Amino acid sequence: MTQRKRMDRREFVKTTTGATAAVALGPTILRRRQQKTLKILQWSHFVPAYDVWFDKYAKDWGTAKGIEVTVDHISLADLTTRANAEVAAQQGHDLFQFLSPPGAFEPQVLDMVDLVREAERQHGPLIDLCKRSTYNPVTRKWFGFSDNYVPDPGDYLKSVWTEIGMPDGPATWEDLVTAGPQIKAKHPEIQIPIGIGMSQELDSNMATRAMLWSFDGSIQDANENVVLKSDQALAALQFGARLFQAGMNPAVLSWNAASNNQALNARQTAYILNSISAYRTAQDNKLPVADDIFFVPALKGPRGTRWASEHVMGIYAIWKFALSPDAAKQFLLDLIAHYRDAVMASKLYNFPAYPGSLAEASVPLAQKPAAGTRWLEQATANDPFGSNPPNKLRPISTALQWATNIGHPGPANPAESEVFDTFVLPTMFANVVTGRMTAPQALDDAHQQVKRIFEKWRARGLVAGGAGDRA
Amino acid sequence: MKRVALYAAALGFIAFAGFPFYWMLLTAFKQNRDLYVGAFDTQHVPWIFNDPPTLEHLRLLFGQTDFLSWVWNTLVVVVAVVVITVAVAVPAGYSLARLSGRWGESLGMGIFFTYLIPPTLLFIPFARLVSLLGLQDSLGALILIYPTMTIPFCTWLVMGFLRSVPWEIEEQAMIDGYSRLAVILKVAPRLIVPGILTVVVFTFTLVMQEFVYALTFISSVDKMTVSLGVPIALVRGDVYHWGALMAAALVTSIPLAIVYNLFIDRFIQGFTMGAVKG
Repeated sequence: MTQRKRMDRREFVKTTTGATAAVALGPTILRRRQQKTLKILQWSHFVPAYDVWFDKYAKDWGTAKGIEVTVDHISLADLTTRANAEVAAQQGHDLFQFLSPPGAFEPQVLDMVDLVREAERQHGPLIDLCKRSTYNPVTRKWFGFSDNYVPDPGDYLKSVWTEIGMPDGPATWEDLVTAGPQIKAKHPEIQIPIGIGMSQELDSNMATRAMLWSFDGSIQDANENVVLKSDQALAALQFGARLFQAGMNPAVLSWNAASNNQALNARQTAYILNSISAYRTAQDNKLPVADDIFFVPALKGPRGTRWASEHVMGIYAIWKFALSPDAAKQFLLDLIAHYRDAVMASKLYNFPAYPGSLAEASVPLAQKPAAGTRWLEQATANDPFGSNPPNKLRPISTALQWATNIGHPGPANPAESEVFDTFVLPTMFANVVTGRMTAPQALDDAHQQVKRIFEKWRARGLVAGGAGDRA
Repeated sequence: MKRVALYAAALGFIAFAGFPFYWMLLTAFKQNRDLYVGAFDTQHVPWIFNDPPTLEHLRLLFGQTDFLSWVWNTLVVVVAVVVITVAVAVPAGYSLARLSGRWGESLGMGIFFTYLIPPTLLFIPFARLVSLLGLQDSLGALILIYPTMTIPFCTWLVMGFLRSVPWEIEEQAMIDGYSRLAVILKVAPRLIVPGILTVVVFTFTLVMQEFVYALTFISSVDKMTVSLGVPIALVRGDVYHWGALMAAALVTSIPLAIVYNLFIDRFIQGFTMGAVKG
């Protein structure tokens, strides 16, 4: 027999209060759940003001679009670890910014072709350097969307180089070997006359590539065949050993990304290969050395070839598991449309992937790239951030003449990314300069490693070549 | 003469131990132009203030970063992980040392070996687990994962410690009428207080300095721990903000140093007692 349970006064109050609260808050909760979100992860930019600008821009963009935008920042050295974790969890940010071509993540990211086409329709062509860093010709997939690249010039101390008869700094790699002993002789307090890293870090990766390319060697050819083992690469390695003897000490074997900046600003070195970050830091900290830092383009090799990597390249990827891919794409398009602000917020550190995005809105599309390039040349020729002399940054405006992509003369691809991420080239140079291996041994060792990496990615159908691989 | 040598050695050790703190203190208050000094300036003395001290780095640390939130988050995680570790490792260590006979020793070593697996190998499978549980980007992820590092080592530590405590004391308690459970809850903890304190300090230290898992599981700046937030905010690209970094290191290491010094005798006892064959 069931007994009908009667509701007492207390239960009545509880129930009605609960029901009223549910009715009142329900729409709020529903609205909250329906609120679109966009999660962005990128590096802690070396110019703090850029992050301030970007975070505000993203917030304001979200407010205008009715999207809740979150921007998280991490150190550049931790980007790959974080990306691996997000892929493993199949969960994370909608937009993930890499600082070198993320070829190894190609299977995990959306094709950006529509976005690139639309950006080109609005601002004119993407520069070739960025295209070759974000497009895989084998799969015909745009595995990233680049908004910027950062030039990697040589930074030198003018007073020191003037004393040894080279007031305009070095022009060739051989100049470094010539200058090293002279700087040591004139300035014994400068412990590392030539501050180029040969350790497992970003700057060393870029510097050793610049050396290899300028000696007409490369990891792969234009058709993605592994051609590292060559007379040219051997010459580059032997040169690296001479350079080490002439102007370096073992400190360069344990350098991190900040070491060359610190060494230059403390006048412990007279030449580094870096972005303008060391110089801007000196300026910001009002160090007297700032006025003594000048820039040169990439150095020429023995046959006049002159190449350097970009220092970093901002490349956004949208994961396949991203929750808001459309919002992410729209955000990137709108970001490109505001790129003059971005360049200024970065104190001329970020150079645009779409030069036309720097042009005034009123400029016709066909003239935008030239107008944007002109604006950048003017900005670097008359630095608005207090350079002395104001045209000090002019050499970096020529970066597109001597900056090339990781993977040169071929495209960036997953194999090149893995070679980059596993620091094969800096290790190869370090093996020689420490005497651990002879140059031919180190070259052969690196070549075999590279071949294994390429074969792995070819088996996955993401890299071409193979028929022309050297033994 | 012997006494002079003793004092000299002690002073040497004090200087060795205290120098990092002095260096942090100095760097935290030095002006940047005093930190980055040219090699040309041979008059500059690096271990003193050559220019007047500045609060600029502290202003950066406390005014332009979420440092206090990171300290709070770290404390929350530390307390939770310490509680979990003690609650699991002490009974586990006791069981393995006292109740499982010959198998206990081997099992204890087996558990200890899991501690030796580096986080760089484990973070990917853990990422999947954390995602599955919906704990991504929350302190809960760290509270879940950190005990997997601390419990194996602490269990082994407690086991070693218990080996040095005579079993007869607990046996006597049981003769006097205590049940096994009562012995575990009331008698054993009193016998292994130094061991438990060692577990606490060890866990505290490990959690304070952990980086890889924090990086993997936490992405929101306001949810970061000190070990993650500080390098992310103060190492910008290839530029290190040394003054603020040293200030952060100083502020967080002082409490740790105090904890260590308060319990130093028991801590040493905790680590060394198990090493003596009973």
